[in-house]
Amino acid sequence: MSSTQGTGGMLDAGTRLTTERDEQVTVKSLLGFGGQGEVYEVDTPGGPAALKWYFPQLADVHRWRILEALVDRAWGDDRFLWPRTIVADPSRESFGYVMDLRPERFHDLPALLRRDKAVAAATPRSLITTALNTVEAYKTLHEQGIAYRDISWGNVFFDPDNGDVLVCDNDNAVVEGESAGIEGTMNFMAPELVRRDQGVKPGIQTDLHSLAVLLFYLLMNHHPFDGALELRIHCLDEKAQRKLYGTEPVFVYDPVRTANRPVPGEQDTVIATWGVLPQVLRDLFIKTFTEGLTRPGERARESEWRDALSAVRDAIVPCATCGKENMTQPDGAAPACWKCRRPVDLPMRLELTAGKGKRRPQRHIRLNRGAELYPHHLHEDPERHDFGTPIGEVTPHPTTPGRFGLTNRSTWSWRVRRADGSQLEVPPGRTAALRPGLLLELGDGAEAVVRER
Amino acid sequence: MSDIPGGPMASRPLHFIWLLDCSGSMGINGKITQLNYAIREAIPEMRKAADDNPGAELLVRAVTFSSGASWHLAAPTAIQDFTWEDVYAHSTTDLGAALRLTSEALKTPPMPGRALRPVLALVSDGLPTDDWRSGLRDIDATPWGKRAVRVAIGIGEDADREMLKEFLANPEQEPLRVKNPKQLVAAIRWASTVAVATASTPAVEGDKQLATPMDRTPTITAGASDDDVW
Ligand SMILES: Nc1ncnc2c1ncn2[C@@H]1O[C@H](COP(=O)(O)OP(=O)(O)O)[C@@H](O)[C@H]1O
Ligand SMILES: [Zn+2]
Repeated sequence: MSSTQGTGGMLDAGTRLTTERDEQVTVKSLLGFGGQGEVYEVDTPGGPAALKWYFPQLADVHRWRILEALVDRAWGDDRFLWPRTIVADPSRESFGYVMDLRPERFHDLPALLRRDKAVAAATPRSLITTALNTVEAYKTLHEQGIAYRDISWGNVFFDPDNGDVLVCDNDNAVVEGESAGIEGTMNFMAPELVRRDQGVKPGIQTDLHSLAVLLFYLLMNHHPFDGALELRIHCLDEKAQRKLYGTEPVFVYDPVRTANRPVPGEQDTVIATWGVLPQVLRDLFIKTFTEGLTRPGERARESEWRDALSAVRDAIVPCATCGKENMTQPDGAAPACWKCRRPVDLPMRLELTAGKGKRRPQRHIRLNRGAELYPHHLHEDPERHDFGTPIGEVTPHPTTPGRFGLTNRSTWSWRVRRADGSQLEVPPGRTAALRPGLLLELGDGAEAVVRER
Repeated sequence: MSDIPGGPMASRPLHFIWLLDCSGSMGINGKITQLNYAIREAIPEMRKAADDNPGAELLVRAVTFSSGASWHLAAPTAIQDFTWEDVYAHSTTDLGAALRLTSEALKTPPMPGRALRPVLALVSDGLPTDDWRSGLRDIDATPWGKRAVRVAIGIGEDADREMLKEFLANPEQEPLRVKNPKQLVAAIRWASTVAVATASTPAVEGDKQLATPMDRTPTITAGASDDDVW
């Protein structure tokens, strides 16, 4: 036995443990602790990893079974720090599991909410991408019948540069329908859980409320129910939160019940962020936080969030005056820049129709310099948005300033049809000049028309 | 962050007040030195607890009591700027005076109209020498005092368990009892971070987190050696 040394936690550095797969792990250092246990950096045969070790009184048979089920369901998805294998030791009172280490580029959402310098690289595009990736990650879970139960700002990490996400703390997830207690912080919980309504259990339907709260925090930097009513509360304790988030929740922008509007001078952040939020996203928040409060079936589903977020991402336009990115309503009018208040100049728009079948979704992509087309644009119902491999990019003409074209970054040829009926082929690497009225056949049944505005 | 609209999220102040026993007995066997050490050790964890809860603005103060009581750190200090000046031990255990002094700070004003629950963290190693029940009633008579999240740590065998329990005023909560410096570090760290979490993000289970805490406390099981018993 090699020598061990204190880490400040339950396990000493140098402690050797064996996983259920018979691999040796060696404890190196304590990374931190939370409400359920401690997390260590460990060495494994596959390289450095993280080990979560439960506080002994939480390490019961029930938790073991949940963990076993989760390990069995692992599907190798880099968006989740999924439990890889259980670690136990008969001589110790507890057990834990091994997962990947969280890379440094990922930051927590509280840092964003505080507007911390560490996440200053965040832009409207990276935040919309974060939202989209978060939604798709939970969609993947829910499609497999797994409820997460504890969606909160503590569990989703993001890369402020590009919006990549990493969902942590997955050991609270359970297969839908399995019995599991109600725990967690009230600000993320569905009202029926806060109220402890008879027979209501945390599951996919309540996850959809928590997800919407998370998206509201992410994009609006505020809680959806913290308006004028919150300001009347002196001490924001459990009782006050039960009322605010459980028994009498009122969305700050409920179109009908206006009693809880944010108060200028006190809640300016949400006034500013909601003021520049495109209507497609407003609609989903309104629906989820009005009808969805009492009828969980009315809550926006992940696919709705995905489509709206994807559309808004395609409609982000830089301000010609100050250069800041602005979200715009897809297919909508030009807003005033959130930063300098000048009208945002809208570039040409690609009106893209995807798919070969009857259901042909339309997408609107603003063709500002650097705008990109991705494989998901061509699919009727994309499995996942991947911004890693663009298939087209708006580029400036090499010699004529102010002229732009769409460069084919895919591996197949496109076809261009001009208004006069003539056709041109655009092989990979070549560029089609952008002109209103131009028709592009992009392959896979997808076609697109360039529009003036 | 000038690339995205909106400023920092609105937050409420979370007033955290240490109530520290600096009676003569705390000077025995270096207990007071250990207390200074333990509070310094807890600062990074308190910062992290504050960082995890963007809705809370954690502000720390400290009252010491021996013969009478006084503010060791009177200004509510942001945890990011908080540094610990040593406290020293002498004379009696006037907890009542400390509670009375604290009760003044829990009136509105000086408390703001809107805040999170304050936290009162009491550390003591003995029997109070003044009328502490009257002081406790003063605290309970203030709107913020009666709602405060309370944690209590009793150092050594002589700590007045009944008094600490009465201070907690929560039948489900027990004072933390520590017998050696290692446990003190763990208890201070646990009490400060869990109290901050309890006050800043209320949970449906209420203050359950505060109940039966010792066996959840890191380091307790990490082979505390017997020879460093006071
Ligand atoms: N996979 C990981 N890689 C690196 N750090 C981690 C990892 N998982 C958790 N941590 C850190 O460990 C600490 C405790 O983890 P947390 O998930 O908050 O525990 P709990 O679920 O018990 O509240 C946190 O500081 C967290 O950032
Ligand atoms: Zn501008």
